[in-house]
Amino acid sequence: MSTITSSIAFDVPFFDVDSYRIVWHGHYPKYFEVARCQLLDEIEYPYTEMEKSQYFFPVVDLKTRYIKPIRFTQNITVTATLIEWENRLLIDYLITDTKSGETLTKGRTQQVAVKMPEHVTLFQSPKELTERVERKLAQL
Amino acid sequence: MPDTKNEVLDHLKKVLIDLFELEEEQLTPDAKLYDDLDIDSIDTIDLLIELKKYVGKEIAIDEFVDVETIDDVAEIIAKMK
Repeated sequence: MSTITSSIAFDVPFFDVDSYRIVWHGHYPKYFEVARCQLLDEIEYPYTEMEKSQYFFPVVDLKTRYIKPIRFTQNITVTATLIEWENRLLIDYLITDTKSGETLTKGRTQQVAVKMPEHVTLFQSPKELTERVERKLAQL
Repeated sequence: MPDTKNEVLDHLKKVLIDLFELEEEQLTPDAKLYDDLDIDSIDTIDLLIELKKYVGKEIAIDEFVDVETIDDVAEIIAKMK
């Protein structure tokens, strides 16, 4: 079965490293976010479109497995893979060293649809999301 | 396919134990999901996804909006099967 993935590579900036000279653990969610936004662009449902359709998709759960440290100037590739979308938006992340391909980090976020402006959490994703995902999958 | 409410209850208890590390003694039919078992709205989505696999088809999510107890959930699932 096809999966929707999106990857982005960049050099780790100086301001992201801590006193141990590795990326501070609190910055990883931002790396995930960069890849996630690109993935949402690819299914044509970025945060701006979500809001236009009167839904927010806040992150409600985040897991990060720090397998190897990431260092200043290292070029890393962050890959986001869409895992579930029918009842929630579940995305897996893999950070690798771009040059060697070595796995550095694994992560997962969970987002749920919140109907706006009522602020009602939905147990089922709106068709605005599911139809876009199905359309994208059909193109793969 | 198990259909009786008691079989559904047994399965539901197993799912609750597996997903949320609850103790079997807590899982009385009248135990309230939110108040007694500390299950939150995000847990509820996890639970619904598991129950969807059990039922083997799409489940009517709207029916779960007002559920309070384990027995309420079992009642709805038993009707769907």
